[in-house]
This record gives sequence, structure tokens and C-alpha cells, in this order.
Amino acid sequence: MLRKRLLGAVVVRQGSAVQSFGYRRWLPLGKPECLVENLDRWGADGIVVLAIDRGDQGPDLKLIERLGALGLSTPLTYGGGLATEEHARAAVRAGAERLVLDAVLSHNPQAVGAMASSVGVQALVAALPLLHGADGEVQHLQHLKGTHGALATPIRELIAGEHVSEVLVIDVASEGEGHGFNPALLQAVEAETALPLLAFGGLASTEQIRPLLSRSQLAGVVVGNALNYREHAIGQLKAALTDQPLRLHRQRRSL
Amino acid sequence: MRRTVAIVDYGVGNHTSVLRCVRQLGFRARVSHSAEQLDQADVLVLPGVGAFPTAMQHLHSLDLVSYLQRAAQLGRPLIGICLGMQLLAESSTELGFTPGLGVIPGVVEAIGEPHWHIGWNGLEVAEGRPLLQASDGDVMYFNHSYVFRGPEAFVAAHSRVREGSEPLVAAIQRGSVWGLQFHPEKSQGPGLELLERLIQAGGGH
Repeated sequence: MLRKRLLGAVVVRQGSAVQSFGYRRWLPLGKPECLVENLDRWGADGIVVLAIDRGDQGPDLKLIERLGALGLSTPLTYGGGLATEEHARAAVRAGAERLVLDAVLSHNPQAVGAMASSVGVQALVAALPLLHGADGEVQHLQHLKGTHGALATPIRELIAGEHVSEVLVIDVASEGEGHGFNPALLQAVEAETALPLLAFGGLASTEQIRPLLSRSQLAGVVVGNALNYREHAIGQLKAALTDQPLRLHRQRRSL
Repeated sequence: MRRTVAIVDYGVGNHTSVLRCVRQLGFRARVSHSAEQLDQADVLVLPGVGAFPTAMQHLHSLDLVSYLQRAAQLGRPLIGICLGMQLLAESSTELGFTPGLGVIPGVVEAIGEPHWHIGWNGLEVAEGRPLLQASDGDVMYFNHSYVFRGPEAFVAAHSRVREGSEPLVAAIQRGSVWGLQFHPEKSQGPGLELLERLIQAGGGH
């Protein structure tokens, strides 16, 4: 049976890992390599590296190569600056298993098909940074433009037509705050697509994670800042969630 | 004996992960698409991340199709990983019909419902696969939406998305040719152990 996943996120800005707070404030943490290496060692079910300031600079291939050089035995997902098929191919070749697409979904949705034919649909994850408005409407944040509004039709078509393989639902208001993830955002995306979903933003404790894992469409949760405060944080979270269908980490045994 | 592994570079996917993993396991390893260099290896590994037609196109352009078919006929140990496993089949319907290497009888088709098999899942090892037996029940990392379908005689392991759901082929074997639908190099301890056993056995049974 497919296990639910507990993934670790590393947010990168200006080449450094940062603690991110709602896409507005950032505190430096150090080298991304150190955090990624820890997540690999601690048995995360996946590592999501988000380079949030790439804009139109393309993916940070040097960063991916440095992470690839660590010899990770955990799947690496990269997001940031991915706009073309060539970017996608180069990022996978540099060491990423999966790619998080954000701005390209609205700026050039046609490019997603070309990426899929090159690296496979299973490698593509759509990132949807969402806000829950005062009127109850869910809004899509286009953070590079600094605007937000209803989910655009091309994006709705991409996720409904399964031109990507998962959706990373980001709770922008909760991101970095540790106050929990707003399930209304998941509900809004569940109404748009049958794709597996990942939840990211505001998750710090087992009390916040457990109810999300019980949702059938949710494939996993992504935890960021909360993992930086203590050693083996992933293992501690998993140990407290043994009632959930999570994988137990096991080191390699010598033959 | 310290084995030499050649990772077949056909311009698709991420060879670096496999290279580093194999070296971490203590084997000599290199990445190459040159027949001369591939000839020097004890074990060939065919990795892959991407779409089937693009991968076959690259294999053809590098004259690797007949090389790999001949290697399999000669009984050289060959391990296909993820897309690399699917390429061992006779054909795929991903993005249209494309003939594969035809090294193991079977075809690659869309999974069905649900459409995706992404994440960590347990292995159900078939009887008569002693090399895989120690991995029975181990949890590996999968990432695919197309799956191998072929004679049970060549199926070495299954996985199921849900309890009681249709079994999906997770590993295939024909002689010293192995296909692993999951990524052993990204499956932490259990994946590394399995890959080490297969390389050490030089394909084997």
C-alpha cells in the first residue's frame, strides 16, 4: 500500500537557505547543502528545495548539482525558475527527480506539455500558493507579480487534465508561522482535480499534520521551518504518527 | 570481487544519482555511451527519468539499441531502473506506440485507476526469486504512471497502490537482466541493499 509522505522543505533565497514567513520575510539559515544532507540522513520521504528568487533567471543548476553531489538516497524535488523544456531537462540531468512548476503555469502553460514529453508527466508538480480571502473565496497568489485572484483557466485545465502529476498546495498566510494548514485550501483544489495533493505551509506539529493525512486525496505533507529547530525532527514526527500510514526509515544494513 | 558498473548514458534522466549511489556501495562505476567502455563493465545499469519515446529516440541516435539487445542475448548482467526497466519491454503506448528494446516479453501501458504510482510502497516478491527475497516487504520509492504488463514468468515483484487493489509490476527478470520499476538509489537503506545484492550477484538469480 502506498504510504503517505512526510517531506522536508528547504527554501533558498540568494543562494542561502532561509526561514520563510508568508513570502514576505526571510531569516538566513546557512548552506542549503547542510539542511538537505540532514533531511536525507534523518529519513525524510522526500526533499523539496524551492529557490524562490529565480524569476526569469532559469533554474539554479549549480545548486542542484551541489545537492546531487551529496549522493542523496532520498528523492529530490526542485522548484524555481523553471520556464522551458530545456530548463526541465537540465534540472533533471543536474540531479532533480521531480520539478515544481509555479510561474510557468500561468505565464506559459503550453510549455508544460513540452516539459512532460521530455522529463515525463510524473516528474512535474504544480505549485499553487493560495490565500483564503475574507469573503471565503480561495485566491491564487502570483508572487512574482505581487497579485492574487481566482485560479486562471489554463491552470485549472492543467490540473484537471492531469498534465502534471501532483499539486503542491501552499498556504501562503500560514507559511512559516507554524499555526497549521488551512484545510479549506485543499478542499478548493480537490474540487478542481483528482490529482494527489501535497500540503505545505504552517505545519509544525503532529496535531496539525494528523487530520490532513486522513484526507484520501492528500499524498503527503511538506514541513519547512519546524524541521530546523531540532535534530532528527523527521524521525520524531514519524514516531508520534505511527497510527498513520507513513513509512518507517531504515538505514542500510551491510551484506 | 570488486565489480565494475557502467551506467549507460543516453542523454535522458539523472545519471549522477545512480553513479554516486553505486560508488557509495563500493563498486567501480563510470557513465558512458561508448560501446568500448561499456564492454569493459561487469554490470550495465540503464537508468531513466522521462518519457519512453524520447528515451528510445536517444538510444537509437547513440546506436545503443542493438548494443543493449546483444548484451542481453549474451547474458551480460543488465539492470534497468524506472524508465530504464520499461525500455526493456517490447513496446510502450506512452505518448503513442513506440517499440522498446524487446529484451523481456511484455508491454508498457498506462496504469489505470488511480493514474499515478508516486511515493513509497512495499514490495511483494514472487516465489522463486532468491536474490530479491530479502527485500520482500521492504518499502521503495516509485514514481511512474505507466506500468509493465507481461507474462508472470518474468515478474519478480509487485506492489499495490491500495490494499486489495490490482497488483502493479515492480520488478521483472529474465536471466541476468533485471528491471526495477522503483528507484533503488532513492529508496534509502532498503534500496541500496537490493542494488548492492544485484550488482554483487552480477545479475544472477
